[in-house]
Amino acid sequence: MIRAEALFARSPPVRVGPVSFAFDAGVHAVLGRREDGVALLLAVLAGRVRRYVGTLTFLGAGAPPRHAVAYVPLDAVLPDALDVDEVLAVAAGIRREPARPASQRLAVLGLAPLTSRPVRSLTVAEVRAVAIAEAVTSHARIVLLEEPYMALDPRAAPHLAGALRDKARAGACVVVGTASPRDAVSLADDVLVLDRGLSVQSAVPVAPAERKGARLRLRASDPRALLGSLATETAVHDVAFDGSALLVGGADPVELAEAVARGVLRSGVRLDAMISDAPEVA
Amino acid sequence: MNEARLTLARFTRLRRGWVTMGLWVALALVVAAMGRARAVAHGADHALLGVYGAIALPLLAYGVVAQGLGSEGLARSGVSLLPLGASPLEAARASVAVVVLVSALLSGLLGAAVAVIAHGSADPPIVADAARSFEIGLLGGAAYGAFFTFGASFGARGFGRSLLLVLDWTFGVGGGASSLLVPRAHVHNLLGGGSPLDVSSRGSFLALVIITVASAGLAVMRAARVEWKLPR
Repeated sequence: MIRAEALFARSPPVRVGPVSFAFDAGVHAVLGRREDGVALLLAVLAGRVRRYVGTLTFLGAGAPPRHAVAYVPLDAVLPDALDVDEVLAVAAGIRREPARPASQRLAVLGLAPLTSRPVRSLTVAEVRAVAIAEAVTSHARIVLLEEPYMALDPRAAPHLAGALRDKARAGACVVVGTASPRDAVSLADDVLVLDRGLSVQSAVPVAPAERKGARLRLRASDPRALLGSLATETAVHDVAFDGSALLVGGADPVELAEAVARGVLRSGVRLDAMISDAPEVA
Repeated sequence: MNEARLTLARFTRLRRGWVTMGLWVALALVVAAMGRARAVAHGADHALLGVYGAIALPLLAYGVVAQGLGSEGLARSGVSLLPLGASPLEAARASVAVVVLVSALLSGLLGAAVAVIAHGSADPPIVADAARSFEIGLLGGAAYGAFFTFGASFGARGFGRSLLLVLDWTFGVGGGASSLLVPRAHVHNLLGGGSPLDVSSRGSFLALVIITVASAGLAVMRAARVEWKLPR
């Protein structure tokens, strides 16, 4: 559905690429910070950044029809002078979809009470939730969401993962950009990891079995020295180095963290970050 | 049409700009009424050429642009439609079309109202004068609306429209070639106040049409080409 070959784009001070990936129907995550190019990549896919190098095709064609793409950036805003139901009606008109009751569409994320509220009376969290509800209930074939859980109305959060799954099951390509490994793994079928604009882990499928147990992503001043030090730790069942970070796995999260601490002390390296890489802990 | 609903709703639902626009309307009408009260023979001419053409019309159009764009720059005013599937081009085109239309209608109606209220004994027949004033106001309002919308395509908050207001006042009052580039001189000419460089009424009419079309086109082009930036 979305194919990128050696894609490179720049919007100072951020750049992304060259990256290559293929996203078909399903939920896909792009993991990294905004500075790593995640927001820029989503903007390129949304057609908001038109200058890029490389090949990018959507639905087998060059650029997707604008109404086939729903893009909710982190700073999404809604038309200030309209009510929420009018926003959905306008969106349906722009996307050339048949009009449907707004309350039904909003109910997907538990937002039916917002139906007749003026947009300017909504909180930032409610605006984001309504924008996401519009995106996932639209007929758009490509849905791009930046940090969907960030500043999201608490009523919508419990419904989000299910709504994205339903959208993907209906044949859409959902791409979630996030800096949270937990969100990426819990929402997506595969994860494209970006580090300073470069892909360090290209759309690796996350098998359910891999989600069990504790997994930590470690950024250290000397990852190879830390890797050698962790090799002797029995609590560490597997270690991988993806070029910028160490991925360590083990059965028990506390024992794994203690093993990492011992390994850091032994090797004398500086540990810059230790991020849980799995949402489900056995 | 769907993209236009946002701009239309800003006129019908948001009150913040109507106070200022109402002020300019009231000023034009009060001055027209004062001319009527003093029984000035060319009351309509004086009111139209004076407060209406020189002050109320440009400032009303300026207010209309601010109201229609939500006091934002042209590109930013339509950014809320982008997540809903609109393209920057369609969003800008809808905003410009609505703003120019509203500016033209309000200016035309105000021109006709001023002509009727200030009508004096030496003015042309009242119906014909009102119709002519409506026509000139319509065209002048459209030209000013497009002109200021083009200005609003500069800067995130559309500061360029203030710059064009100043340029209109600066260049429009002289009789030099630069006055041909701004609406003021042509509106003045059509209202019977004398022409820049001896341009005919038809020439000024055409010039206002060209200013309208060119400004609107450039505004849409500029807004559609705004590059994405990483939000702070």
